Amino acid sequence: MRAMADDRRANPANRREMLLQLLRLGGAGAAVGGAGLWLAQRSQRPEEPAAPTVRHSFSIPPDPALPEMAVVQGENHTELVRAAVAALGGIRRFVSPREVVVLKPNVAWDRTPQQGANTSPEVVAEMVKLCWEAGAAKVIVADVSINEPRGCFARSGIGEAARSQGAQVVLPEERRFREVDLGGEVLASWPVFEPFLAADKTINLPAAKHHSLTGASLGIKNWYGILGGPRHRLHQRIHESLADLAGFMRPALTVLDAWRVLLRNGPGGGNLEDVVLKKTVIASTDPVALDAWAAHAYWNLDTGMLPYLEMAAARGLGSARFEDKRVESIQLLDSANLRP
Amino acid sequence: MMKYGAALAALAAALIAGCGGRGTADPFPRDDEASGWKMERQPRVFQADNLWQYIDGDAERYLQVGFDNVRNAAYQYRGRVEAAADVYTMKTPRAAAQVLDAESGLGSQPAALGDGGKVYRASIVFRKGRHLVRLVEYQDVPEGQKALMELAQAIARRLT
Repeated sequence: MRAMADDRRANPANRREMLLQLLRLGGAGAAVGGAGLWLAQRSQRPEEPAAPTVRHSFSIPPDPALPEMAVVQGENHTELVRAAVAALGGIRRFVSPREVVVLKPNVAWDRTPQQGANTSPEVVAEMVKLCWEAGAAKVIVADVSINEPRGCFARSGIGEAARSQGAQVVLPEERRFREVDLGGEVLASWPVFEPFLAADKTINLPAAKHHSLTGASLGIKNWYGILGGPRHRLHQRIHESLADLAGFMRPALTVLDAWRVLLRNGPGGGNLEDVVLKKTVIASTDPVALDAWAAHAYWNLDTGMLPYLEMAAARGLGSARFEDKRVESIQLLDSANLRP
Repeated sequence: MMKYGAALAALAAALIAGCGGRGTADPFPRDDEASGWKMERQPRVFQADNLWQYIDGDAERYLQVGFDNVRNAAYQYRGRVEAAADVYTMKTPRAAAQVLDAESGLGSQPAALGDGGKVYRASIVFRKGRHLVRLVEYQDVPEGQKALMELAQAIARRLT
């Protein structure tokens, strides 16, 4: 300190120079600070908009004159689909002219139809035909496969089945997901496959199969296939997330493919011995009742073993008591045997 | 100098080719090592943190008992049969046994492969040490089962 004071006394020119230097520095500092503040204000990012809350209900108003579930057995795969939909009032009850309909088969695994891990291609093809008959503007077939999607759509036969009937197959590319708030207890903001957000109607086409975590994978579990992101995390609270999904996506109709049922070692399967030919298609306007029926019929699982059913029922999304539903059972005669 | 560089590059390539997963040799037979089978593409590897990207919904039963990695390869047999080969490397032999024992073997025959397994009409599952091997054919043809067994034996020979 003393040395500095001595310097000032010794050289007044230096002192003046130092003051000027300080002023310059102060000015420059103020300019930089001001510019920084201005830039900070200008570059302030707009707040990320919250993911929009979307709930998709395509539920059809109940009709007391019609059954709520149809269980159809027979020898011809496509006739089963047609008969099941007809029993519930016909396709025009579920699809209106000029609608964009998105069909959601299970195309999760790189497996052949015989291995029973995906929906049968015949079910998909027939449902596409029905939608055209109802006057749909566009029919889209989409799923977020677990294995490589192109391979899954090819090996399962679903890609070809859909395209051959004029449907558009949409594969789950990353750019086709949109973050939305699913408004569930476990499922909040989550990326959802866009075709399902833009649909006028959705129709669920699950396969009936065993699942190592839940015991069975049926209609409501099939909605996992509209989600992107790290959906494995949902398996930690699988029943809550299934109930959330049931609330988020309420299809116009669920058509469960039980032509082949993967009874064991699901959901991926692979052993032909685990697949049983049931030659059955079940359609319902109540997705909860349909799952309850199939879980009981094929795995003897009651609702106590599948808590998501009671959770979904408690939220008013359907009834886990399929016994109380109007169920029509149809046995189709083999049309080949009717020929002279 | 160039000579050393080339030698190092060759060594690195050999190491990469030889190690499909962490700490274990490549279990997948190459062309005609299993008669008639050809590998269709380079194997893929999934670790515990991304196993769900391969078998979402089925991953937990591996993770719960101690999983290290899975390697997946695609094969073709004489242009007629396609098959997927999965080699799950578990943390312990016991973990591999737990996964295998938990699977229903209804309709299967015992397999004389490694430490034991099951043979189905168009698929085979067996374990050897801490490895669990699953082979699935996509075409159910008469010569398929015998051919798949040859592929399984070739994989078993490679596993240590």
